[in-house]
Amino acid sequence: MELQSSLTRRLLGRREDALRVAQELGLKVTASLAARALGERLPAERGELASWQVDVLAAIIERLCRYDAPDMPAPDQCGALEAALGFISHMPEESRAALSDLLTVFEIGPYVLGPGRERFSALDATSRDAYLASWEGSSLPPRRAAFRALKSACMMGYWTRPQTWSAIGYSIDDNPGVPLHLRSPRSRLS
Amino acid sequence: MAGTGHARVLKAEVVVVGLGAGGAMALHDLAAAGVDVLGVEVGGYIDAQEMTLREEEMMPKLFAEAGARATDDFAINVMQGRGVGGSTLHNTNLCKRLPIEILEQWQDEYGVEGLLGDELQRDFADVERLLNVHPVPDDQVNPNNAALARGVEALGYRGARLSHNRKDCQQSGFCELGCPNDGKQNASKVLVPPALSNGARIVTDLRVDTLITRRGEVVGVRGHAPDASGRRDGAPVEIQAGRVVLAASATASAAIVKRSALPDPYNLAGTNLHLHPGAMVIGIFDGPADAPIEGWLGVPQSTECTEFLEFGPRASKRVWLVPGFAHPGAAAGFMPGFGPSHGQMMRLFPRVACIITMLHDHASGRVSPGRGEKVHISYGLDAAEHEQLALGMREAGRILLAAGASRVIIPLSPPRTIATQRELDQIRAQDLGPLCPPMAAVHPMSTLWMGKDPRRSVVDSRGEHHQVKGLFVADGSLFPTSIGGPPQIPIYTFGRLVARHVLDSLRR
Ligand SMILES: Cc1cc2nc3c(=O)[nH]c(=O)nc-3n(C[C@H](O)[C@H](O)[C@H](O)COP(=O)(O)OP(=O)(O)OC[C@H]3O[C@@H](n4cnc5c(N)ncnc54)[C@H](O)[C@@H]3O)c2cc1C
Ligand code: SF4
Repeated sequence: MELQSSLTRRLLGRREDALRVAQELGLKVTASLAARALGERLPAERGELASWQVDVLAAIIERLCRYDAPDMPAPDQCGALEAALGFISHMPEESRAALSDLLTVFEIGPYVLGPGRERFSALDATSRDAYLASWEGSSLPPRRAAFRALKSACMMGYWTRPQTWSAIGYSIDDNPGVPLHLRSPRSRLS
Repeated sequence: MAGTGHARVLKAEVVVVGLGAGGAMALHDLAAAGVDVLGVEVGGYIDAQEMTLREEEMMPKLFAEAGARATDDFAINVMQGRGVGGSTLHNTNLCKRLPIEILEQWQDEYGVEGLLGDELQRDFADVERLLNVHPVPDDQVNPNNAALARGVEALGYRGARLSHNRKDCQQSGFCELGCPNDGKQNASKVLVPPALSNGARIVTDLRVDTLITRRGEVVGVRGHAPDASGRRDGAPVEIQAGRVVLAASATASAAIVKRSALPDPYNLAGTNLHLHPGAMVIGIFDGPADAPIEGWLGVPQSTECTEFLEFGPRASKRVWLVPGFAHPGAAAGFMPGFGPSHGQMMRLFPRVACIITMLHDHASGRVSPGRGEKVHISYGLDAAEHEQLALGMREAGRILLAAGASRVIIPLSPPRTIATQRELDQIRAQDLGPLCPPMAAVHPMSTLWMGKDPRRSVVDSRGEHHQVKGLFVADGSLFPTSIGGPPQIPIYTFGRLVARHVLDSLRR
């Protein structure tokens, strides 16, 4: 009984590892084929983002965090991309490499998944939104997962910008438990 | 450091790997007993002055994998600490002892010894004193927590005020990003300074990768410090020690054991991972008479609902309901949708109360090592767990409606906005699946668990590895099962028990 469960455990473990490696390899190979099809180069160093991939990320943030409200600044006016990139740069190399592959696959996706024969960053705003929504609501968990990973990084970039906080009533300066040295100079005077 | 070849070599009687709850306690107690003990921590030493309250700065500083650690399918975000103090640097300070049913289960099913006498309860009490554990006072229950308490009372459910380990807390609400007021009585503040005064040494920013063994005994560890850029591995480091206390957490300790290819005849190490995965249910309080909740302010967690939480192998209800809140960057990632509809949701931020449905999971997963600090976590919820999750989400919603919410958001895919108890009853296990709802877990445990029988456990009741002499485990990996509550007090306490056994083994 014990021997059997140990064998099962070993086989299950091997299968899970094999599946994960296949998935990782799948993403990597797909990304490298996609980059070739797009006529783009993958980053020279593993875990870095090529400048065209940064543009893809910027295009994603631009749609995810475009709120069309006067008190919610456009992402490119508040440094959301730079903050997201800063956040990503602290992830382990393997995760950054996966994100880089994901951005590549995301960029070529419209050719395969619709809506048209364009790369994501060449789509108009309405088509970009439809494409993003198709990832968010996909019946395939890996696509939903990919969307979640991209959305988390983008939201972390945008909503950590202090310019976005007044629209949602959030403030560090007005928090009575925050020590004075962490409040902005203006609020310290008042 | 002495140098042999190109590896730098350090020596100690005992090396403790990882300085979170379990490791810092072991370091503290071994140093107090006069042992030449060296603590190794992959993160840095971060004091209260460095807590900037900014999510984009503190997440990478205090959390493993910059806070982006997740199960391989990305369905569950697994949050763990990094730095001297480990996850106690940014935990929310809830304190509970292990339930007696769990201790009985560990004794009866796993043969763990020494759990049911007075001694363990005395150890719990000592640890609680050391960490200043006391009930959260009435005037520190914030509106987010008050909403849960109100709903629980209206429904006649079982609930309680929680205890915490804080002192001179200014109620800033930033516990999960590191306390700027030094109010947390955590491992870094309470245990590390006395350990250093008693002669312990600590090396920070050093990652242990493998254990060194010879003829069935552990003789040290090997690892890497970062290079000057801080982004790549620099010089290899070897630490020679006759005893190793592994306390790098239930994910990283198991990864180290597996990377070291220790004898594991029954393929146990790294399996049996429990996570207490949790999903958020959001209640909207936007009526004209509702005062803003502003859940980011004040002590984050102080009340609980245990109506649906039973322990033991036959428990039929296994959800712990506790209030939860996040600062805008993380919260926005959890709010459904994007663009203008997401913006509307974000506007509700000051007017929502949230309850986490946390599973006392019977399902388990598996850890395997990745490159560097990366760990791979495979974990899935089966139908029985989805039943529990659906129960928890329904009841969290019921509590919020009973507390006065006009509607609740259940973050399924697509999200459901619900205004009546009847609609809540329609949330079924069949509606749930990976990423539906998105989940987070902050309590990994059980990957190198205790037990009498080497065919069914990885370490013995003293925390010593069944196959490798001198190798002890002193973190959340030790628990044979999920515990269904906050793990820090149990882990601190087991760190103390294991230190005692390490000491005995040195004197033998
Ligand atoms: C957001 C959050 C809130 C929480 N709230 C509560 C709460 O309110 N109450 C409660 O009881 N519990 C809470 N917890 C959980 C609790 O803090 C942990 O369960 C507990 O700290 C785990 O202790 P540990 O010793 O197993 O590991 P940790 O405390 O995580 O410590 C492990 C240490 O090992 C280090 N390490 C990892 N790998 C290596 C390596 N290769 N080499 C060297 N060092 C390494 C890590 O950097 C870390 O410092 C919370 C956790 C989180 C993330
Ligand atoms: S709520 Fe208290 S313990 Fe938490 S960060 Fe603020 S002052 Fe520190």
